[in-house]
Amino acid sequence: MIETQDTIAAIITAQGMGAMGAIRISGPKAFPAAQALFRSKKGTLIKDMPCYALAYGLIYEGDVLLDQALLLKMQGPSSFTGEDVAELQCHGGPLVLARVIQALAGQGVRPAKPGEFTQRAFLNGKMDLSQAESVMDLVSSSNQVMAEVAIQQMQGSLSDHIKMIKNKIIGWIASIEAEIDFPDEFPQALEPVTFKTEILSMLRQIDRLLETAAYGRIYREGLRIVFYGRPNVGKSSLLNGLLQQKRAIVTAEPGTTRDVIEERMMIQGIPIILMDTAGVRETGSLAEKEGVERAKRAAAEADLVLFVLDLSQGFTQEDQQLLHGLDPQKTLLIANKADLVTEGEGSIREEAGPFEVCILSALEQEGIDALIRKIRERFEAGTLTAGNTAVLINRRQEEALAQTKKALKSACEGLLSGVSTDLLSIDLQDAWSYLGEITGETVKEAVVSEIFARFCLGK
Amino acid sequence: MAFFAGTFDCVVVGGGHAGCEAALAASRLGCQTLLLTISRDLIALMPCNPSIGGPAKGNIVREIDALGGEMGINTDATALQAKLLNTGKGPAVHALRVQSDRYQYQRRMIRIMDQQENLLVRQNVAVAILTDDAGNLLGVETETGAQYLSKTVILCTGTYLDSRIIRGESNVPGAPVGQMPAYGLSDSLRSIGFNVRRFKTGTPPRLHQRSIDFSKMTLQPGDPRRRHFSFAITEETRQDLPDLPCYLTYTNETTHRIIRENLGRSLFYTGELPGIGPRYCPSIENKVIRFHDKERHQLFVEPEGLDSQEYYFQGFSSALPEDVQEKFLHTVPGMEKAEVVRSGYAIEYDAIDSLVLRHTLESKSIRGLYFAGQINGTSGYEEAAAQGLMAGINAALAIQGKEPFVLSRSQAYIGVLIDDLVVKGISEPYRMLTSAAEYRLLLRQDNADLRLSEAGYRIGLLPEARYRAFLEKKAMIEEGIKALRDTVISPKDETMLKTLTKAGSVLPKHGITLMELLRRPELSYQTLKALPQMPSYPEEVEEQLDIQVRYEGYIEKQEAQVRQFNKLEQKALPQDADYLPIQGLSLEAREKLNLHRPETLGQASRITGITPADISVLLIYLEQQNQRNTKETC
Ligand SMILES: Nc1nc2c(ncn2[C@@H]2O[C@H](COP(=O)(O)OP(=O)(O)OP(=O)(O)O)[C@@H](O)[C@H]2O)c(=O)[nH]1
Ligand SMILES: [Mg+2]
Repeated sequence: MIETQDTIAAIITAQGMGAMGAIRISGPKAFPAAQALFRSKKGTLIKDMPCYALAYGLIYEGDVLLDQALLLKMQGPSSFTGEDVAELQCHGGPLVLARVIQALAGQGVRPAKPGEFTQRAFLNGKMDLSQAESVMDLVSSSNQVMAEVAIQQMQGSLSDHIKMIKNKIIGWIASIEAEIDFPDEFPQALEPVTFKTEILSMLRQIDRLLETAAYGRIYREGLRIVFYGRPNVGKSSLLNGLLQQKRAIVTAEPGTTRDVIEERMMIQGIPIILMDTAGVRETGSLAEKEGVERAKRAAAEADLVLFVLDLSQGFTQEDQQLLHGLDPQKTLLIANKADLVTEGEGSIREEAGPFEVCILSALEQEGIDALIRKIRERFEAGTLTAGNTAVLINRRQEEALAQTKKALKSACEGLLSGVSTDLLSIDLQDAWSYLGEITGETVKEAVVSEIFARFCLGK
Repeated sequence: MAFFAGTFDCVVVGGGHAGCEAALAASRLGCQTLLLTISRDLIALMPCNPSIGGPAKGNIVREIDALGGEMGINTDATALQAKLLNTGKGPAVHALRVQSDRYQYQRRMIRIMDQQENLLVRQNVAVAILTDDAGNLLGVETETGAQYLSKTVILCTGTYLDSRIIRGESNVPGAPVGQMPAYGLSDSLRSIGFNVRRFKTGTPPRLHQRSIDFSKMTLQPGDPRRRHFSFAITEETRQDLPDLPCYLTYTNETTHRIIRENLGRSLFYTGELPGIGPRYCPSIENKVIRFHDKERHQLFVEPEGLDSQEYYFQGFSSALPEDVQEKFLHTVPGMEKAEVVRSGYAIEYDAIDSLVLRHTLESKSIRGLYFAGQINGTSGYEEAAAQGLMAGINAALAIQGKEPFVLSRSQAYIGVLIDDLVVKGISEPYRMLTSAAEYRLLLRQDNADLRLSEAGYRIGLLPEARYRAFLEKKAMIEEGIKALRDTVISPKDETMLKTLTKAGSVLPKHGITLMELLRRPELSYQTLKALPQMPSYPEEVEEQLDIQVRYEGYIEKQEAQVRQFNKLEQKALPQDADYLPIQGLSLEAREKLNLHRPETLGQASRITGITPADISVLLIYLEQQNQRNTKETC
């Protein structure tokens, strides 16, 4: 039996971002548990509030005031999970949020496991399997509850897109069926010329969607950002600056970093893989040589290269040579050590040509925020090209869409070679069914079991 | 006073198309069978149009024939005209329709039944199902008090249960062709736990031949070539047809106006009668309303029999008052002076909810009690006959303690029909449509014998001689395929070059096999017969070779779809599961699953109201059950 649920809670905003932090409490005891902590300014009790109502008040643990907060009440099934949900929007930082979660534990509310809200949403019919699957993809990759929130809107628009195509196909199938069963009432269902134009336009639509698969990977696995450049320009310092921790060894000696150092982080809801590499130069050391090779490979496979140079040395010959092979669309030029120069910033922008420049100081932590903004811009510009708000999230979706395309192509070829419409409907059926795999309307056991395994329901 | 009247293996109630097939199947399989009918003179009556077959229905008739049923042969033996429809489309939708002589059809069927060993056709009206105190089936009782004890009972009561005939404001008890309704059985069914509901259907007026001006209509001749439903052609069915033609005419704006003006005089439109009618065989008033922007509707004029002056007016079914019917009838070209010999009417009757049945058509609650035909909510002779056949076969198999015989959706239209009835359930009279079949390219009318002869023979219905003929045909097809694959034609072959040039087909640079040539869309077996290398076979074998080779790609795709379908179909659901506490399921799904208890996940997915999300949850549920079970056994 799929068990009756206990009540769970988790912080649903990204760690350390912004002034507000939200906690979601979901389950049969959500309201009483929240009530035990929350005192509304107006004295309203949660149980008396209507669904979707907000209340302003204070959060206490026993007699200790923890924070001020807004409480949003969502009554099951009209909530994200389909259960009773209370969301607390707090003002305090991470520490306060953690204390609230602790206080909730005292009320019998257990911290949510990654993806658990989604799992409940699926089991309560609030989300189809593919939406749930996509969320799981993200959750397991970046291990951030935040990802659940980020993905919802995106996934909805993919489903909408697919459903639109599906409806069109089902319309064609229906006309064909009507023509077969009632040839008198519905003579020629699909006029070949218009039908062909419509299939072709649908194929183009599908191609555009297929192109987004690359961005799907970014969502899934993270945006691969590679620090690249000559030795000693400050790549490792910049990595540490972004991570806010001393992850990589930094010395005044060129050739410090040898191996590729990989770290994951979230930047404003975007999963990121940061890769620090060895500085590129001619060298006799075998280890360093290998490091340089790896650095070059990493740069070639990156979604975004942060090309670092030392501003105090200017745009050197070697810098220019290295930069030459890079794609401006996928590169940001980081002029580091800005603290060492007082003037001459302007010339670097001119020399950079098509490359966008970001002037900063890793040492002084100056300009890091601007860099984060730029990374985000690049990411959005990349994923949202040509008004594409729908993104293929995983390989399975990509595969299903590729199969759809194959079936539609075959229908188109059949049409051109004069095959009768009742046979074309076999291809259309196939196309329809593959699209259904994306939205979860075609149930395939293999898919369900795979997702099931990740939900760990068997435990 | 009730009295004991005899003991049988199987009692069939009703002598319509379902009853006839049921009784013949059961008796042919060795069961002592009694068929009770209101009138022996009206056995196998066609109370609506005198034609059999058409899209999907024609496939059913051929399936019945391949299994060893009677409908195909009876139609062939009494045919007036035969026509293959949809020939402009792919082979999946080719459909044979035959006009039969309505009177000869009945006469031949009663003769066959009377000649059948183990079968007694007796005129008497069943009024009650007999059960013991524990609810076990005992038999039936008739209005004369005769009690027949029987191991199995098959109810094929058609449109006769508490039936009423409606024309305009007139709403009176009645049954087709002036018969009496059957009273009593409905109450008896209710008393043993069945929900009985009201369905309706209708029929158009019949007209006197001398009053119809055929010159204003389009002639609709049959195919010049003699066509058959049955795969066996006998002395009885070999000769040429008289080809009594049909005619085509149309309604017009005036017809529609008169209908609209008089809707107030139909009990169905004033809301006095709820009667649920067949959407796909609507009355003319229904068509005028539903397709209000259509300028005209097609109407066919069909002969009822060689010795009959009556013509059937297909497409003109109506429940409007008689005077209104005549008024708008006279607006139709050719019908200006038409004399009505029987007016159109709607008939309302009792049907059960087919969801209470198993795939064998046996009731889930009472062992041995079967239902077939219109009582299950279907419409149409062919649908009825198919159910009768399957119920008869399964009653006999059950008596003999053998495995039931169930056809799947990928094997036969009959499988689709019964699965729709017992899994999906229906809310209006069900007509078999091509679109109801997911795998129609595999369920063609031309290959019904290839699909089902083996089963028909194994059950014991298909006679030895016919089975041997089938095996021969199958062997020839296999041999033909091999010949086509192995015969290479030289690129310099004169006849080949000539034939290809004539057909506008690209000339090959190298040697090419006959099969490769046959695959070309612009060529066919017929055109390629110009080549002396082309193997020569009986027509139906060549037809199979042509279809199997030319549509191979599509057939393979459809077979792949079937394999996918079978995956869920083979996933068994525990029969003792309680679905109510399963969190992830919608409330509707939980209730429906507990009520219908589908045997497999595939069946569950076809229940109305159960969504793909529910099926995903069920898959997860099954997985959990499995894990639990393996844990327990470890
Ligand atoms: N003044 C100043 N010094 C910096 C800045 N960033 C890095 N440095 C110094 O530059 C030196 C090299 O820094 P790293 O971060 O190790 O440089 P790297 O590019 O990783 O060097 P390799 O690993 O050898 O390729 C260290 O002494 C840093 O303290 C900066 O913004 N300003
Ligand atoms: Mg370094």
